[in-house]
Amino acid sequence: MIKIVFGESKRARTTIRLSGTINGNNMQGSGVDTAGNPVTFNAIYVSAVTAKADSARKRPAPQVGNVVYPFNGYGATELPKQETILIKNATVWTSEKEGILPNTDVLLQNGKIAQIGKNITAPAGARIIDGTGKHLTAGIIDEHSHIATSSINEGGQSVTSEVRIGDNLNPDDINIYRQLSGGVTTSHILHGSANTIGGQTHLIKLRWGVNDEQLKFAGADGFIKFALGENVKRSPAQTNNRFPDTRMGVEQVLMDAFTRAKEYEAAWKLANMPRKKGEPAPVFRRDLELDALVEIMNRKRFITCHSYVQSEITSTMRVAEKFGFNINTFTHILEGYKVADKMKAHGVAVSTFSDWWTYKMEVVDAIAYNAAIMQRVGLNVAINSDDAEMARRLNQEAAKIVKYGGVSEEEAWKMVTINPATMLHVQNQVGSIKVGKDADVVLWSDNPLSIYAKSLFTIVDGIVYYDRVKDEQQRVAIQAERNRLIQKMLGDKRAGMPTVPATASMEIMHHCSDHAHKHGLLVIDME
Amino acid sequence: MKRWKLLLLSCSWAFVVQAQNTFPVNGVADNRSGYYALTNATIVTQPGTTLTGATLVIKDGRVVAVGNGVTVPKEAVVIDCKGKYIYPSFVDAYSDYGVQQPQRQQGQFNFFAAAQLTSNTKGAFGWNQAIKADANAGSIFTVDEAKARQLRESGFGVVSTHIKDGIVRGTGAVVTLASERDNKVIVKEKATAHYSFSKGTSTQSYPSSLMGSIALLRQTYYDAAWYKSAPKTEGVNMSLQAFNGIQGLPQIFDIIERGADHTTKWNALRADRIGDEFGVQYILKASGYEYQRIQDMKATNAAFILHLNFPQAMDVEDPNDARFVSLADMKHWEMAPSQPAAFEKAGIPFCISATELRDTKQFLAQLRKAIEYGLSEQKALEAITTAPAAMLQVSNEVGSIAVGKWANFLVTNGPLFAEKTTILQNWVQGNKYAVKEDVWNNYDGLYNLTVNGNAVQKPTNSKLKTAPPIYLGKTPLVLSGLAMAK
Repeated sequence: MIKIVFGESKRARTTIRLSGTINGNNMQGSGVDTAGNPVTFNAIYVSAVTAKADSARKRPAPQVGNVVYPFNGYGATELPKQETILIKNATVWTSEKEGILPNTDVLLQNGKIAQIGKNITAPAGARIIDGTGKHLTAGIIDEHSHIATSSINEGGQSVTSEVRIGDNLNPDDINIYRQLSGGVTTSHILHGSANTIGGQTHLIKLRWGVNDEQLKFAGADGFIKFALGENVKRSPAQTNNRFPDTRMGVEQVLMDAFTRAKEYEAAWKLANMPRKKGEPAPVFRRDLELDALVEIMNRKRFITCHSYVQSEITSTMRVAEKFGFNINTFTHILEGYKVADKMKAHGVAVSTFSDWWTYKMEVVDAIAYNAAIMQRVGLNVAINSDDAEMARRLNQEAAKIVKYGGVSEEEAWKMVTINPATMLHVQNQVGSIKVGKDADVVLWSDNPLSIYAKSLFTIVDGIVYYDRVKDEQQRVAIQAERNRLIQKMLGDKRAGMPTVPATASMEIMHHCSDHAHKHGLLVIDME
Repeated sequence: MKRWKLLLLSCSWAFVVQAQNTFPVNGVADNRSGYYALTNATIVTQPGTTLTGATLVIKDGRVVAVGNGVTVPKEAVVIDCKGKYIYPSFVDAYSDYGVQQPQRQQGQFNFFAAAQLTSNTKGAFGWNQAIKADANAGSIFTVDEAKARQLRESGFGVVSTHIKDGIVRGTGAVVTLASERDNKVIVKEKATAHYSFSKGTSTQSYPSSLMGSIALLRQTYYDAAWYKSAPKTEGVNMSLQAFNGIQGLPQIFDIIERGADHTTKWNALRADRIGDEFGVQYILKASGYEYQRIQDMKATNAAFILHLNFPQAMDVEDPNDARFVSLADMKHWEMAPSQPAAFEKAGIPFCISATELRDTKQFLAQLRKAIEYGLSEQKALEAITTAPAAMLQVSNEVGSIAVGKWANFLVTNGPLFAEKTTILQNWVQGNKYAVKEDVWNNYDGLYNLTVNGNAVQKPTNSKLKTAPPIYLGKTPLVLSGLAMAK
């Protein structure tokens, strides 16, 4: 069956309607003309049409932009390379016994700090950066961070030592770049504080553009996050049914976990004992949760413990001592000033805020002099961020310790460099400007403790990952690329292609469900 | 003589077996053999092999003969396919066709809610509700004609279907899209084993994070290995038992956790690392963002299942709306269609699935778009025929047109990937399904049209004495600007 409908003339509003059949090559049938009178028609086949070679016409391949690493505006088509860099005539904050050296040159070669001194001759091909009037420091180390991951809290149970932050690193996180711009080069990515024994942490270097494995700080000791107090006993949850419900219970969770770990270790030893030929070994179930706890008892894994209140601080140290190991670090530790002597006796390091408090009941006793007091007692003290935004300005957080506690500038600066390096057991690689250490350095426009100080270059392993001049150029390029793509999308719309409403690109930011983090309009804060 | 008789006997026996089944017939039995010969066709038996003027003979749902110079059996119904192309029907390695999917009630960690610390699943199963190793798509599969038609009209003949729920999702079945009894369409009842990072409908608190899902899956591998020794302390654990039972199958890992975004591509590496730890090479179902790290994808040594859900342009007319769209999202809109080409260029094995598409009918259009963005036609055809068949280990049954395999093929009116080509018919297990048969014959041409004896012509030609023929083509014909000759 065929149907033919057409207007009598170009502008005709009325149509002639024909309906008929195909018979061989010809068509015939009847219809109705514009006046409503019946008509008959036929169509005699004359010839085939010369096919318009629509399908044969090759459209030019679409022009698309480049893949950049990471895949956002601040990515690059090629990753930056390791360079030989000579920084000349800078004020060098060594974070070592040499202190602050004026008018000093530092040579970075093969990813290491090769030479420190006056009038160093630049090797052939070296990039020379004039440091006159500028300050060179080791890269900042953030002991407590939650950036660059795809999940942060496994809150499903009270003991989750089997989970590992290192399993879900996210090297695309823009916070890596933002923190490079604030002089951070190493971050300790902690599990959240939803449970007593949280997950295994991971130490990363802020290598912008690499993949998740390459983000990892090679050879660093394994750590694990513990937490105490309100979060883990779920104080705000009226319907909590997960043990523990009190601070006493928290202590018992620890006792129970390590008791089970002891039994597990004994069973493992039994299963792996040398035996006579043919004698079957007992069946042993590998338990990832207890594996990690056994590592702790054998000092192969180290604890960073979220803590606020003096009672829980002391009780946790007692549990550790009972099982023959140490707590490596108390983090937050806002009441640390009350029990600094006890912590000194235990041999624990502390990592705290400069002045972040009163976000919940258990932090009402916090004081601004905490870090300074703990340092005076002889503890290794670090200042950390626990916040993606604050980590951009940890230099200013360190400066506050000068203001409140009267700590010297040099010592305050150590609280964000060599001190956290030491508590993370990487003081031989990073944390100070010393020959042989990793070339992780920051060139500041000013005294790094000044609020006017900006990072001009942030260098990791001798690779420039942040360059303020390049950054400004990149902002221009981003505008241009955005505009190109917007125009292209508008072109699609004009061409009648389907479009979807513009959707805001939300950034998911993880944090440890501890403070009231608010990171702005385009950020979803995730626990 | 004796031997001859024996041969005859075995032949007749084979014939009887083919017609037999357990299902009683209410009425008169109607066992037709579906004996067809499609002649004069351009047959692409598999990617890279094209026969022109060839004949395809099918019977009892299977290919009996294919090639040039094939004798057309006199019992067969002959279909002249002059000018037509025949391709193997597509195979989709990742589908949920005919399998009821549990409704998702994603239980994310909620700080304020009561915890569910044990599994809600009744029975002698494992401790975690998200380990559904015992799930078996084949046992709940049922033909879904409405959905089958959609898929057939997009060119598919066979899909691998499973229950998309949980971290371990049990086994998937390979089924055809014929509208036959369920028994007849299952090609392989337990064909694949499935995994993901998403706990799906599990209401249990653990795991509440991606790293928790990873830890749970790792622990399950250790537990399952331990369970092989029948530990008395455990009792019967049907989850671990089932987990051990599915290890020999192709292992398919869906890397999309909740929705896909720029970071989901890293899940490919995360899944692959779990596989490395336990000597398993997963087939990875991609998120669509993998082209952003193609060398890392290659390093997994995995084969991938790609989808064609390319984002549509956003309406960015309002500058304030546009301001909130990240450059990464805009770049992805531009580059997403180049994902299959990027995999081809990197030499990573892959197949292409209709999964994730908003509308299955868009499949071929989207595939053509991928070709426009650099995917070769040969690779495109492989990715929807031989590659998925090999991945599912059913190459001996489907994926190409060859003697003995299921008669699953498409009849088209042109080369498959040409823009104007239409699928006319899709044959599945020897059953013909019309897709768009009304364009089988092409009457496009120039005609002398007369109405009541008066010639119809274009007005511009109205001064000519004899009206030139006018173009008639495509049904229904709607023309404008014509005039009756005066």
